[in-house]
Amino acid sequence: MKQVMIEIKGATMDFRRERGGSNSLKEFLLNLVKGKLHYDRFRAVDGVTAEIKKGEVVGIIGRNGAGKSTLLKMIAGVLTPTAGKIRLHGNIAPMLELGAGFDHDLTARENIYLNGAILGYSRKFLDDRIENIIDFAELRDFIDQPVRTFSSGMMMRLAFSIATQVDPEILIVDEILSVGDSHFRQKSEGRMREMMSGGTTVLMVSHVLGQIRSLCDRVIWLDHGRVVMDGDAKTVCDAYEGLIDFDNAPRFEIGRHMDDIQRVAMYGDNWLPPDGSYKIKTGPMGLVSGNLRCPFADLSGEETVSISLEGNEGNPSTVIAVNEEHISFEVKGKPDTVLTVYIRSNFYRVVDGDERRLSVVLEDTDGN
Amino acid sequence: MKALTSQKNYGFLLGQLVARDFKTRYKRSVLGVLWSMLSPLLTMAVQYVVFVNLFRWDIENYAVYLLIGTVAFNFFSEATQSALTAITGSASLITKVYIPAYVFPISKVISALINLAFSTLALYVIIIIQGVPFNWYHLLIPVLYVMLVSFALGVGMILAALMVYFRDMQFLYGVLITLWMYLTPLFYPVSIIPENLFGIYKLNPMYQYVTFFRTLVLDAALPSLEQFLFCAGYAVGFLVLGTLVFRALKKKFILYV
Repeated sequence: MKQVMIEIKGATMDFRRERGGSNSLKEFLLNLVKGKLHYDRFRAVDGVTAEIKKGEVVGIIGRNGAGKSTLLKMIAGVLTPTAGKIRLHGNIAPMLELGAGFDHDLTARENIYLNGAILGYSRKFLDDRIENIIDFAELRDFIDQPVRTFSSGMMMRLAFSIATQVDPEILIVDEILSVGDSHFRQKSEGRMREMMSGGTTVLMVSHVLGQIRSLCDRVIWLDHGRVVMDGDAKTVCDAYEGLIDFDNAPRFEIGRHMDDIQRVAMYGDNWLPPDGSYKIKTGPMGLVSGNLRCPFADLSGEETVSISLEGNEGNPSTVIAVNEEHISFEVKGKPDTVLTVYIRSNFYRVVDGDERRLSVVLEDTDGN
Repeated sequence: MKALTSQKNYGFLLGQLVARDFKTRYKRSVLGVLWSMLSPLLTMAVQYVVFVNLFRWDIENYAVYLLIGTVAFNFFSEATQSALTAITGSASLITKVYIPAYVFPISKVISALINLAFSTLALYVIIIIQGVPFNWYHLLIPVLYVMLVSFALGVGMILAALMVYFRDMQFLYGVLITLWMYLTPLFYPVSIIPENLFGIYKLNPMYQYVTFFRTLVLDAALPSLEQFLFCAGYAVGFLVLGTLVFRALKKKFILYV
C-alpha cells in the first residue's frame, strides 16, 4: 500500500461574483443599511474528492473554467477551501506562476534572490545554486542587467530555472511546460522528467493533451468544478478527446425557440450535468421547451422517465417525445416573463429497471 | 499546511522585500542611497526656514524641537501609509504563492524604520550644529523607538486589512493623517493648547511619543511614569489590536485583493 500524499475530501471553493460595483466604503455601508450584504456566489470547485499516492504523476484536464487552477491553488495553500478538506503529507513546491514577484527594476541576480525568497528558499540554498540557475537559464551574459531589459522568453527561462531548483516531495505544476523556444522547451521537459523520476508526487495542469499523455500515469477530468472521470491517462484522455466534439456530447438544452436554445454539456458515464440556473424568457405563448439528449444511454420507455417541473403550479409540463436519445418536454408559463430553470443533477443511470429521474425546476422570477 | 515554504523562517524573505523596497527606490537616481540621508536633512532645512520666519514661537532650540517632532511623525506617517497598501499592492503575489500575509505590512514598517535611522542621523547633525548638550537619557531613545514602531505596526496592520475590503481607506486615511499632523505639536508649542482641552489633546498617541522624545533630548530628563505608561500602553494595545484585526480578516484577503 503506497503512502497517500494528498488527500482531497469534498473540496469546494466558492467565489464572490462581482456585481459590477466597486467595493467602496459607501457601497458597503449602503448595502449594510439595506440589509443585503450578500453577493452572487460562483462555485468554481464543487466537492472534489481524490487521493493521490506517493510517486503518482497526475494530470488534471478540463475546459477553461473547469476549476483546474482553483483546485491547484487550494492544494498549494493559496486558497482555503470554502468547504471540505485538503491534507498534504509531505513538503510541497507549488509552481503556479513563474516569476511571481519579479521586480523589473532589479537585476536578474537580485531577482533570483527575491523570487527564491518568495518560493521559500533560504539564502544558503540560493548561494549554492545560483551558478546552476544562471547556467540553466542561459543568461550568464545578462545576469547583472535589470530584468526590464529582458525579452519575455528570457524572463520565463530565468523563472523556470529558479522554480525547478528544488526536489520536493509534492510538485504542483500549472501550465508551465511551454516556456521559451523549442530548445528550451525540450530542456525544461527533461528537467521535469528528472524531478518526476525521483519519486516525487506530481500534480499538473496542461491543455496540451500530448504532454499529459506522455508524462502522467493518472488523469482527473474536471468540468464545472466536478470530477467527471478519474482513471488511467489513456482512458480519460480518450474520453475527453471524444467529447471535445461538442455536437455529439450529451447535453441538456432548454429554450423558447430553436435559435434561442441554451446548451449545457454533460459528460461521461455518470451523466454529470452541472447544477445551475438558466434564465429563459417565455414568448407571447408562454412556452418553454426542453430537450435532453444523451447518445450513450437508452432513454426509451416512458415509465422510467419523469420530468418534474416545480414552482409552476397549474401548468404541468408535457413530455412530448421520448426516443432512444432524446427526451423532449414542453412547459407553459406566463407569457413574456423570465423563467429561471434550475437543473439538479439527480440523473440516474438506467440499469435494467432501476429508476432514473431528471429533475428540472422552473421558477417564475416575476412575482412568484 | 506543511508547505516547503513554511519550514523556513520568513526572515530571509522579509530581508529581501525590504532590500527590494530600498534598491528600487534609489535605483535610477544619480545620488542613490545618499538620498535617504539627504532628503530628511533638506526637508528639515525647509521646515526650519519656514517655521522660524513664519511663526516666532518662543521655544528654546527651536530647530531641534521641530526636527524631533517631524522625525517621529514622518516615520509614523510613512510606516502607516505604506503599510496601508501593503496587501493590496502585493495582490499578484498573494494570489499565486503561499506567503503569510503578515510579511507585507511588517516589511513596509521595517523599510520605514530604516529611513527613521537615517533621519535620526540627520537629527544628530542638527543637534551638534545647534550645540544642544548630550546627556545619558539619549540611551533611552531605542526604547522609545521600539514603542513607536510597535504602535505604527499595529495601526499599519489594521489599515492594511481594512484597505482590502474598503478601498476608500487610502483617501480617508490621507485626510486623517494630515489632521493628525496638525493635532500633534510638531512646530508649535504645547502651551498654545487651551487648558480645558488638554485632557483630550494628550490622548493623541503621537503627542505622547513626540513629548517623550523631547523630554529625553531637550529637557535631559526622565519622562514621567504617566508619559511612559501612555507610550507603552499605546504600543502594546495597538500591536495586540492590530494583530487580532489582521488575523480575523486575513483569511478572506485573497478573495478580495
